[in-house]
Amino acid sequence: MSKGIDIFFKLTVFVVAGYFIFDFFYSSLVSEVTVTERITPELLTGAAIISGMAFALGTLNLFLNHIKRVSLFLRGWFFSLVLLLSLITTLSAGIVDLINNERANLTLAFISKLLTSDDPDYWKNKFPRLTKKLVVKCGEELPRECLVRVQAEYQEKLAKKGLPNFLFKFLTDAFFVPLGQAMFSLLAFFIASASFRAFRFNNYLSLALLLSALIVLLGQNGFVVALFPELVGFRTWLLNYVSSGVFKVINISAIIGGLIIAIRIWLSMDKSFK
Amino acid sequence: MTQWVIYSGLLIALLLPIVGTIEFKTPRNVEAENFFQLIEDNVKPGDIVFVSLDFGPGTAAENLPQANTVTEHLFRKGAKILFLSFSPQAEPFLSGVPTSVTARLKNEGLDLKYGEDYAIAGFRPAPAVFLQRLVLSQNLAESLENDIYGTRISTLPLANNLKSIRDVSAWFEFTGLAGMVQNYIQYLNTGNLVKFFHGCTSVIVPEAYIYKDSKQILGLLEGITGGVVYDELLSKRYENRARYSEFSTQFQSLSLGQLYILFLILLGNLLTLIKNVRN
Repeated sequence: MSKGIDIFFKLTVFVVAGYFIFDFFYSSLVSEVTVTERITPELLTGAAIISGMAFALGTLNLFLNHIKRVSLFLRGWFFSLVLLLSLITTLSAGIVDLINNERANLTLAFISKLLTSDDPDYWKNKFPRLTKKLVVKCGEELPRECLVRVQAEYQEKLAKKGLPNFLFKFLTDAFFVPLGQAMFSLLAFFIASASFRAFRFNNYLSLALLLSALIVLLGQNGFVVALFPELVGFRTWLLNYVSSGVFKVINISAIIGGLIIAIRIWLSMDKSFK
Repeated sequence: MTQWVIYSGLLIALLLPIVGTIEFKTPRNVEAENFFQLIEDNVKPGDIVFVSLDFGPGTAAENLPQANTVTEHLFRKGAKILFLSFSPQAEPFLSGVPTSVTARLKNEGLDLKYGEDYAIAGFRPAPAVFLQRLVLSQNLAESLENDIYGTRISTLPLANNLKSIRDVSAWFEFTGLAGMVQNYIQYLNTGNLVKFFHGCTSVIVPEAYIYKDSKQILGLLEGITGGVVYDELLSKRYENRARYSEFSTQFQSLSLGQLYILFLILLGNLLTLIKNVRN
């Protein structure tokens, strides 16, 4: 990369990151509404849009990689095919739902416009059929209270039909949730097997670890606590004092490390992407 | 062979409470009791609260009991709830939790209306960005944009008095994701700006204790134990209420499963010791 472009990127990173640091301290020192309180939300919205684009790029990359595997019948091509079909099915369901939602939500969107727009007459003239439909329910004036009531009725009607996102909900409830729960449930069996085969206390440290785990687990076990109620207090003490103390140390260390890395990135000293 | 014996033993331990042959009393949980009392003392009728359901199917076994019981308590206290999530996997629960809880309460004569008593903002990406925007916003209802039906949240009756983050009486978050709670604590300035309550899985509860110590988390629910104890506390408070029997059964299965795993650890070590002594 040429030196000029390199300097341009470093300067951009410095200015943008510097703006947010400045805004953080400036907003907390100044009590009235500042110009940064108007700019920052827009910048943050831009950041959210860029994250969305990163998502799309990742999906495209996934798509291209797995199409290559399937077309060349590389090892594991069948699983790549399953992934691609799932991706296409979910995307299609999302698009179909979007179209259905737009149609079903048209009245709701129109009511929203009437309630929030500075010029509701513009929207009444643009959609005369929808206006006529509402006039029948609310009268010529279309009072706010009536519009809000009609809005709630439509929402209830949509919910009863299973909208919005009928197809997507079906895929989620029929596949995603049961498969996700089944996958996590398998972990219980792995843990059982590992606890018999691998968990050995060879020294005092591992013995201390086992005893702490015993106290914490048994302290919330109904069967054991019925016999030894003092375990609840001991468990709470262990979590509140011993565990909290250790986690504070770990957290502070991690945050200091993160701060140093952030400063290095801000000053373009981090060479990890070169 | 050994593997099958281990797996079969675990399966039997998990099934015993489900088929109804074993049942025991729910243990006491101090944190759940404090959480309950804090809601009793701090949440008043008409208060606007946010409930974040940041969990997916994998941790639903622990987070769903918490979410259901606390949501029911908030509705009974007359709070107006806005549901949202920063986890895309939470989509089924965002509509499932309010629907199931309102249906339950309808059987007791409490008729809750969408838009007036609750609303569902849906999934929002990039929690750090979103939370910062909310805190800076001069019109919070407008910043929330649309709900899951595409309606502007600012047009809903629930959002009439929602101008800034200070109008949010409390924020409840239920998650199984490590590191998610730090977004709320950092950007919402919990402890000063917003009263924050947290429900998490047993695995990540140690990282939440440090924030409870510094009062950045006011109330903490630990795993399925927290949910089940909360359910019991609700039944003591509201006499004619039906309990969530499925959560209780899940908890008892988990307890027996844990005892079995502890037994396996001790057995494995005992067998190794015997082997070493023989050698």
